Amino acid sequence: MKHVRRALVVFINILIILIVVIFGIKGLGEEVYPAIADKLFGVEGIYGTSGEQKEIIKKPVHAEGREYCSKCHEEIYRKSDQGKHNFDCQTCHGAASDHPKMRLKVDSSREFCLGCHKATIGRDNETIRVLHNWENHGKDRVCTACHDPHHPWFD
Amino acid sequence: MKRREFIKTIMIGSLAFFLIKPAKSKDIFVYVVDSKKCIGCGSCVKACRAENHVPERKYRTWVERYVVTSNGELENIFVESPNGGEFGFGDLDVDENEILRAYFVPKLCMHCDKPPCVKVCPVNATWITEEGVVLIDKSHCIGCKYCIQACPYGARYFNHHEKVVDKCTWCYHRIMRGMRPACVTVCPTGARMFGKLQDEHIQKTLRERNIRILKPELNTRPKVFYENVGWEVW
Repeated sequence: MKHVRRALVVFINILIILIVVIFGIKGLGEEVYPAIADKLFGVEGIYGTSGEQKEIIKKPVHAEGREYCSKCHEEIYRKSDQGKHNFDCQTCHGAASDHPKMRLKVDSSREFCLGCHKATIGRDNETIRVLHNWENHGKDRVCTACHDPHHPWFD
Repeated sequence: MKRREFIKTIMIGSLAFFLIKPAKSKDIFVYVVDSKKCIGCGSCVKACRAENHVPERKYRTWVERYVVTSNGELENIFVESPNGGEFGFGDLDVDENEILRAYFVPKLCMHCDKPPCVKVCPVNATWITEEGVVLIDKSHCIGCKYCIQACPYGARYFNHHEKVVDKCTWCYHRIMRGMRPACVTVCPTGARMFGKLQDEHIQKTLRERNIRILKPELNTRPKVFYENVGWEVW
């Protein structure tokens, strides 16, 4: 009878350890469950936990901020800073990925300006100055004929 | 060491290992969208495409227009997103007087705190970083698209050129350099806000009452918050 009891004790011990492990993993939170094997064995990167993370950081930035543009175009930067057209340059000019080599193109058509300033369902009048009579206002002329795009108000 | 002692130390050690939760980083990034300020110009979608080389007709971020109308009856809800809102929104064939409310809702990956997409990945190719950003290892993804089905927000898409699943990373390469994501940078009205949870401008908006998250009933704990949106946004 003794050897049977011993086997039973060993079996119950194994069972307790298993239960502890399962509840321990659950205690860590469900959302870390899939990657737990990597973390337990200290394997990082093989299942994408950290190796790829460092690779993604190295990706080149295509659209720098306003301050980057102001290094060369300071005059325009100051001018646009005065009004509400003080948003980022790339909103209209596009991403400046390799700009000094490549010239940036900007669309100066009426449709481009109306993309924001046309009266549209859902567009809030308080947020942006919408043009209700856009069909007749400055007909057949580009907006930039009268308005300076960097400072479109008349003082 | 006796066997009994050995087993005891192993048990205590394993207990201590599992009970101590890994400390989460304090620098959790959050994203706040003010729907009232969004004008639906689509410059965010264009900037995202340029920054992350998103293939055509696929979107990491897109803009939806919600139009709620009523002609004496209960509300009718109309949602549209032509080309992801990239080229703006056209006119609608609705009577202006019948419109109860209409607004634009920019959508993107919610970077859930409990992401269902991470849970279903069979090869652990997607994971959540310490900053709370959900990323994909493109070299490890097998393109099974389970995560596309698991995502309740429809934020993931299949990149047919690279044959992997792709999604918004909050421009991880930019935010790690101290810059803002491309969509936040280009937004002309400041409808999109990004920052750490402790940041002042984020704290100010998160203290507002009309802030909400999408699909809270799924308990995914999204980190994208919406301001001034109606109940119908889903």
